[in-house]
Amino acid sequence: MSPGHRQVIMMTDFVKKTIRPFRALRFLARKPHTIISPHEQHNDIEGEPLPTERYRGIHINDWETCISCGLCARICPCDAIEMVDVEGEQKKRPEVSYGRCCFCGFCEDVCPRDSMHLTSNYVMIDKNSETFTFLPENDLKEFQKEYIVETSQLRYNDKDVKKAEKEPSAKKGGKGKKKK
Amino acid sequence: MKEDTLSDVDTKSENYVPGHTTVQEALGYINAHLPDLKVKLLSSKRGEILVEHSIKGEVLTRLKEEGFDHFAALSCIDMIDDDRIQLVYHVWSYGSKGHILVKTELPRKDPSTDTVYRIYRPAITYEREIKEMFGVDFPGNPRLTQFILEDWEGPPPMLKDFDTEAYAVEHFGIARRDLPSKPPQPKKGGES
Amino acid sequence: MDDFRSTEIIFGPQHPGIHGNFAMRLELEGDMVRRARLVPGYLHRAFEKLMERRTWHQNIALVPRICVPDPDVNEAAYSMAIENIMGLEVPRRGNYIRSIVLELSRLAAHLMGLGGLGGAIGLYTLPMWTNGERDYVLDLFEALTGGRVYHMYTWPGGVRWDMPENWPRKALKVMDHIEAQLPSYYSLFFESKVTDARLKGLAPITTSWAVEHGVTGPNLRATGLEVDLRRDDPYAAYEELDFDVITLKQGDGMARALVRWYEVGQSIRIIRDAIEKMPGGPVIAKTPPPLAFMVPPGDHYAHVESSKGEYGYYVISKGGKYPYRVHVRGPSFTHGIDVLEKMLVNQELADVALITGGLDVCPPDIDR
Repeated sequence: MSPGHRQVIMMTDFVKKTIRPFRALRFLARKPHTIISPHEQHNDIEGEPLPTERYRGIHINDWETCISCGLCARICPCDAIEMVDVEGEQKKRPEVSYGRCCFCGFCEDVCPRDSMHLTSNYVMIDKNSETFTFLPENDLKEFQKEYIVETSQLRYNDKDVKKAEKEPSAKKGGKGKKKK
Repeated sequence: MKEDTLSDVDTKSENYVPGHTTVQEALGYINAHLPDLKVKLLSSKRGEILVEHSIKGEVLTRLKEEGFDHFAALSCIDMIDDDRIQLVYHVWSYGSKGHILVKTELPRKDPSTDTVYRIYRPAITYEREIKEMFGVDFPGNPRLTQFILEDWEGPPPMLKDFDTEAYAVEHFGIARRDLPSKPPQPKKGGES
Repeated sequence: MDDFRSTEIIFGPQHPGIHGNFAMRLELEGDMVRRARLVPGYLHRAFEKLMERRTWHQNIALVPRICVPDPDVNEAAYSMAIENIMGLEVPRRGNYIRSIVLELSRLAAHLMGLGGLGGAIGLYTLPMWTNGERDYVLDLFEALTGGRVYHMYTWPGGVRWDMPENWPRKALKVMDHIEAQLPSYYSLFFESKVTDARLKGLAPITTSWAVEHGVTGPNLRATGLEVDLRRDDPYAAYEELDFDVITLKQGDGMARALVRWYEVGQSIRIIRDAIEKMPGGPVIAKTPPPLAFMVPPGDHYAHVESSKGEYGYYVISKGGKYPYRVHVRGPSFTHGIDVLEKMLVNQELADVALITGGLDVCPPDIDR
């Protein structure tokens, strides 16, 4: 091996060992993948907000078109849907238990009148477990508004938090949005 | 794309040559040597052999010699209506890309058949599971120890006459619910 | 004195180095493992029994839970077995979308597996990066199927919905993004001296030993045998798609990791190719509604190439609304018990997690 050759090898070694680690510095400028939920919005690669329209979350059911056929209760693999009598209604209505629901969306697929839908809402907060069994309606009922948090509502910034703290009467829930 | 940096590791690979016997040839070969067997060609790449459980070892040995050297799975099915237990040995050939199902039947009462782990090594774990879940005994298998079910005292749970719901009600005090979709009820008392 | 020479330790299921929910009883002499016994069963949910009491379609919600990192192979294999018994023909577009979903799933699983391997040698940057990139794949799944981890998207007869209009564009963007990251994974993980020292020559296996012991998938390809069910027994749209079967001949830990790294690139290639060749038409064959779905008597063993090895579903129907029996063959059933017990012998304790992670053992499919 000629001395020149050795020098070249030493040079490349030097480059490998000394210079290359500095290339890692560029990662300092890279933004982290993690987001500070709920202060930051979760976006996909094109910057569009998530969850998308197809996301399978909390149910809504249009009582006007629902014919209470009970197919949703029959297809449910987790046995989460039960047809129950409702006061003031002639028909039975599906009641969903979120302790069992696996959000497969088969109830939506099988619905002959297209009344059952899964919204892209998935945040529901309460200490009482009984709240998680309820009758889905087209418009989220008053008591549900207390517990179901519209995902868009979660995306507030610090200014909004301070504002909400000042005005405790601020509206908590939002109107359930339709998927299709 | 970077080159593979492993070139300086010496290769210890022995020469493995996959056999190239097709399913059709293998079935013909089996039929010629053991003419009493029922063989069936399902498609160009799939065949089925029905054997008595006493000679399944012989059949599987021959299949392995023919290049069907990948033991894909050993399935056990409880045929409660016919009062028998079916074992299905799935073998696959890497050379001819064919799949042969070797089906054998055992009586439902005290099922027992010789192990095939000396022919196909992966069978050792499958037999271990089937012993626990279906109660089929495999004399000669050294690893028929407790596998998944710890402290289990009930009957083999994968048998069709094992009532899961009754077991849950009895052991965990779970109340029965009327399911909207009525699943098939397990038969009471498998002896029919 | 012999009695005092060996120590038995129980490794897992709570150990941070264990690859999932199972335990190992290791008999050690000093630092060397002399005997290993695997203890599965921490995740046994009796899926095979549950499936006998649910309708054909209800099971679609159940099967993806068998393998958490790579769930779509379950739905695909189960649906393929049903289609074969019924003689259903999946529309071409449905098959193409299935291939894309399966490849995305493989991609996500390999990224997670590589990250786990990085974690096992103490290189915690890699899992952060790969899981960050995996999140983009999960976003794609969410936009396509409505679920992030369990998709319940493949359905007997095709897939449940067509792609949204802007989805292919997004998918290509994510593919470009992941492909741009691959060289940095290489220089971070495979060019690292620690990886070299830890993985090179780690628990090498030969092809004949691997075939004998039922090793499948990337672990078998790492020994030099060119097998891939996507090519050997084509399903979905793989017959028409362009990809290479990656093989390396060393059969050691490094080869097993590298095969996975190369396969990420191949998955990207398949997805691009499928999006480019995507035919029009329906995505699902005309089938009876889910509640009136009957499968004629018959049996079929359908197998797919998962990120971990051969995944097989042996479905037996006796006619009617419910399967008579479904047997699931997971790749880890052989990798995780018998193969691992043999491979761990005479290895150092520090390498146990690395060998397990290198084989990509996924305990849920041992237990089911």
